[in-house]
Amino acid sequence: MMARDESVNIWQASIMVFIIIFANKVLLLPSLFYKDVKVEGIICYLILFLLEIGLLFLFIALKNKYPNTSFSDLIKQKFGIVTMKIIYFLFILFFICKLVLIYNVTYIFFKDLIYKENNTVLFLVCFLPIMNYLAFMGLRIFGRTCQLFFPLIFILALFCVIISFVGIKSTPLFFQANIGEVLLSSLKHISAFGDVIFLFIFMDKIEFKRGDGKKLFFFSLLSMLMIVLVAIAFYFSYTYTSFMHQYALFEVLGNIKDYGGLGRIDVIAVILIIFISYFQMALYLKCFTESFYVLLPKLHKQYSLIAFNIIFVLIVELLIRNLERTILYGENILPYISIISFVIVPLCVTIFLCLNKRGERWKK
Amino acid sequence: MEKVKKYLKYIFKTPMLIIFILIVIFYGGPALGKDAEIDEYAVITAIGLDKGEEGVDLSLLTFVPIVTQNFAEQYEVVKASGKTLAEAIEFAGLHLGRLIGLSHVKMVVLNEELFAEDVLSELDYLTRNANLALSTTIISTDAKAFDFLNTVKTFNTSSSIKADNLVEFNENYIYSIESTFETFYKGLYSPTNTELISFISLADENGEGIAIETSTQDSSSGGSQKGENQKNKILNDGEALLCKNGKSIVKFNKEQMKNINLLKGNYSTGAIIIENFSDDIFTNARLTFEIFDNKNNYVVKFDNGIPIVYINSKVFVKLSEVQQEDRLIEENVEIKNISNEAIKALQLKLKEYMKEGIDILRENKADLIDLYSLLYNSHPIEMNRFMERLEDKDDFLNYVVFKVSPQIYSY
Amino acid sequence: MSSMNYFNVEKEIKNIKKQLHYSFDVTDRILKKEDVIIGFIYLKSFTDNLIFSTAIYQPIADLKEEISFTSVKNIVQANDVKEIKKEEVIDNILKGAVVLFLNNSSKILSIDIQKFNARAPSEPPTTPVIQGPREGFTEDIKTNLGLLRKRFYSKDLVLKNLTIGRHTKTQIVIAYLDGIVDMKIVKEVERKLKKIDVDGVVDSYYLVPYLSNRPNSLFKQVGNTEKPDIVCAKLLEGRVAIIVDNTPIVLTLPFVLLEELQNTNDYYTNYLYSSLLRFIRIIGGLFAVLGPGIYIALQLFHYNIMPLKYLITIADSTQQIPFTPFIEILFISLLFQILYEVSLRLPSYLGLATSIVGALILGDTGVKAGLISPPAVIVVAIAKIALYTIPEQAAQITVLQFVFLLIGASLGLLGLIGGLIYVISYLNSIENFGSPYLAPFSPFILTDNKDGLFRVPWTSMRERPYSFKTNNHTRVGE
Repeated sequence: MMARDESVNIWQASIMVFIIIFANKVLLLPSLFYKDVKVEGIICYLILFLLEIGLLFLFIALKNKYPNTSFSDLIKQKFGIVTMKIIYFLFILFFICKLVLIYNVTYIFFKDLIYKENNTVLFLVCFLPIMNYLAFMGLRIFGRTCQLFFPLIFILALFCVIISFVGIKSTPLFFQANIGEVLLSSLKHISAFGDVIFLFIFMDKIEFKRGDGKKLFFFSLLSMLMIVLVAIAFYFSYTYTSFMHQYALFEVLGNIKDYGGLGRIDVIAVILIIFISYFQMALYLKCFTESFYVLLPKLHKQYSLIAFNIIFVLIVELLIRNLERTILYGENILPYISIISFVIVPLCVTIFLCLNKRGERWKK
Repeated sequence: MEKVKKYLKYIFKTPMLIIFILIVIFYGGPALGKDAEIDEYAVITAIGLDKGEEGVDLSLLTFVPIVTQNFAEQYEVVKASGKTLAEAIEFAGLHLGRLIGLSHVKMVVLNEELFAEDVLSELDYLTRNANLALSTTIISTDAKAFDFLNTVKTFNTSSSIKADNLVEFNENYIYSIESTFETFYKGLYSPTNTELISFISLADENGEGIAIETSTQDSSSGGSQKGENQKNKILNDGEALLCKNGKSIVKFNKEQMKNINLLKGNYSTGAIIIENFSDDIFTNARLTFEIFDNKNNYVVKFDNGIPIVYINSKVFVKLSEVQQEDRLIEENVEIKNISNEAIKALQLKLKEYMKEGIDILRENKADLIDLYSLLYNSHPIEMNRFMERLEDKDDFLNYVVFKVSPQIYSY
Repeated sequence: MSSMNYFNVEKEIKNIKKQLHYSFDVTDRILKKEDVIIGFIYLKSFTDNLIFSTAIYQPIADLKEEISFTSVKNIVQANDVKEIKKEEVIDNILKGAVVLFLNNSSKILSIDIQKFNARAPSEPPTTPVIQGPREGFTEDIKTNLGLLRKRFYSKDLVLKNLTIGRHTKTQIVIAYLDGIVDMKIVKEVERKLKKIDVDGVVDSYYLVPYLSNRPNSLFKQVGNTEKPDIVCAKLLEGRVAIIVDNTPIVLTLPFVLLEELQNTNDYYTNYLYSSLLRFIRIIGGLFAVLGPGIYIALQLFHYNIMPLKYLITIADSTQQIPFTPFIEILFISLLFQILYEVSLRLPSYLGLATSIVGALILGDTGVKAGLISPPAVIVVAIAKIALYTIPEQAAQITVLQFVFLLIGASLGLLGLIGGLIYVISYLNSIENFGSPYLAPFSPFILTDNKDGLFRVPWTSMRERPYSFKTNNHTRVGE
């Protein structure tokens, strides 16, 4: 009865890529980068975005080669079922860890700035049902919902980016960090990147024609450009004090006095962040359930959601609750988990791309 | 039983409905009895800090909602002391019977005495507080912050002139500077660790400045003593405190600020006077030029390891006043163009001012125009070499060659 | 041999009267001419006496030649004279026909001289137009079909007849344009309609749940209109119309939410103006849904994101209120809803009295007495009025308004946005006759957006909508 068809078209996939790239990189990251490498944080962004684009490139190549096969089937065919299960277990771990990180960042942001009480249950009550619903309802509905909200999200984001440049008053100090430090810092925060990995999970569910890769590239580059612009505006308007401002996207708007007559325009950033965090978390949960289904195909979809909710609430409630611990968690634990997105998956994809060629030659 | 089962099955088909009902029961129910947040929080619009006997004396300008149809703003000043600011805030909340909400703070007033020692520890609480925007204006004053806030209270309550606007608008003037937490910390963390804080004094009735007639029924508030020499005038005279690492070094007056701002740029209004000016049109006249815009452009070069800074300042002026004995009214009023001589004179004057400004910076070892980052960004290697050669790194301005060339655009 | 099958007229009439439970309007007349007995039976409540006597009775009585089935059939002056079978007799009588038996024939004649007490087509009160056709459908299906036929001098307008309702036996007509409509949709509609087994169909709304994919959903899944020009436009787009007897409301399928944003007036004025109006409708609808919720969320959770000046105004004006904000806004919302309900039910001459009581006494005095605060009244009033920027969705928006009010008071801004995302994704999950509910916005269909959020001039709308399936997409030729 419900429209549970799971396929999305390329525009919807591109929009999802836009949202997921934009989301968790504009709040804490700029100031964390500044703490490590000063303004060269922008270079960190560029390096990591290059990796992200690399992933996207691999995806498109793979999709062109195997338009209708799912990633799990590919692994199963080439490496056997055990490897597939291990990789998908890592996927599950990756997504839930990222979810915890994102949830915590968002939670702390909202707790600090709009809800004054330390009400963790209220946040779970807000986020969990929507996440679960969107994850349960299927990718097509999720894609359509993203598509409907995309103009709003894009306009809000564009507004933030443009307005943030009004606040620029001075130039920060460049050339403060050497390349080693930059690489180290990039590595430290690598876990915030590699989001396009979700495309592999839904590989067989994206309607893809040859040449559609351009759209994916366009939207991801647009998103990256916006992030870099926000970071630039942030560094240029706060210069030496960038490390004091945790929530970059919010703070770049708070800095501007020229629009005092309008009241507080930073509310726009808050609304944008709310929208984006809902979608991002729901998408990660969707990835989680999808991987869970591959890992344990016999269990019904609901069980993966139940499993997720229990694990998630436990981690969030028991382990991490404040900013310092979240940052520690993000900088120390998560980079190891990023192995899946930046090592294992690219490796697999490269092997698939090569193997096939060799296989064909062999046949001849 | 069957029917109940069927019904339950139907309900569980729509889990979102159950969640909604649960939310309404568990959150909506209590919300029925929940007061508006405005009744739980005291809205603070200004914070005053004085040096206390033991720790810090805190005064808070609090917005008090009153039953009125004309939506007047009623403010009260609350005073509390504590060993630390956080403690004082708690006590202030205790006095008010409300939680303290700092999200609408527009201004933080610091007593001059606080700058004698390190002011940073006093400000620590405020910077940690996520609700307080770092674009909040921060000013120092010679009076007690408590008295200052009491004056501000009368301003905010009974007139449309808001004290924080008074400071904010002044940023446009050549005599004044932007003074917020942000600029303060930016200065503090800049290479020379110097920061400027706007200084506003309270003047007595006969002095300059702006005052609002206070109504007689005002005496109920707080504990402000109504002495004979009640200072109830806010005087923004373009003064500013120069601080280094949170300690005040020197106070600049408006003339000095003008000199610094001419170097800095980013002002949009100000007046320059040329005395005893003579040319084809005027003889021995006193000309006042009004500045209405400016653009400063810095070009940096290193020559034999010595940094040379070219400051090209475009100043847009108009002749706004001429004072001259024995003048013909028609002639002078008609003439709008300024002769080349006048422009040259103005250029000279500006050069003079800018030179004075440079001297002030050098004297105080204060890189208020953020020259360091400019030099460093354009020539990092030379700059490093240059700095290595210096004994006192803060004093680098003394070894920088300045070349100023103001360009006048008159309309 | 054949005389065996001839009717005993009196007996037949008695039999029919018995079947009709001797209802008092069942009338019979017997005409004896020579040895031929002619029996008429009809409902006097349905038949015009004058027409009966001048068009049927008199010509037969005055008939010079021999009375036979053929001669009677030829002499009767009516549009619809047909021979029927014996099983159809009751149905025909009930539909207003005069049924005629002859004792020298085995055939039965049905003469349709039904007198319709239908009102003339007038401007429907629900969809007034400023400029444009003012005709509206009436309760009579024949008139309605006439109004429709008048707009299509085309052989491709197909009208399919169905009868639904065990007792009402309501006549239902499925209308579509052959060659444009996707026949799958027509078949699906027919299948769904034929499956219906109910006592009666009083209004077309009775059919709506049977045609919806999600009959229990709050959201409307079948379009309805009272205006023939709208039905005409929708048929031209490739939709199917369902015309039900005894109601002026015509159903159209497939339905997408966008149709509610489109108003008849849009198409009869400048396209820029109507684009602006559509934008305003969306803003109005959004405000109606979210306005009170946002207000209460700001008051209960987020005073700190309100600008100081608004905060001062709100704080000053809510000081004297004895209720908590949530109770206050619930109270005002209910009050407005009660007033609305009353003003709908009351006869129009009492409407003025209610508006005086509502606006003046309750609103103004309530504020002056310090029971309710002006900002809350303004927010609720704007929301309640904004609701009527999309009047067809008033019911849905009112429910959502209360839902979002509850969410706003319970969870604040985060909950409101979550709720909004939920509602949209729920809407996205509705699909009727293969058309996504929120098309052409999600999924985004560029050509359909020419008549979506904005309306481009007619000359640019070259294609029929892609939001639902049609056979032929070209609307405007080269």
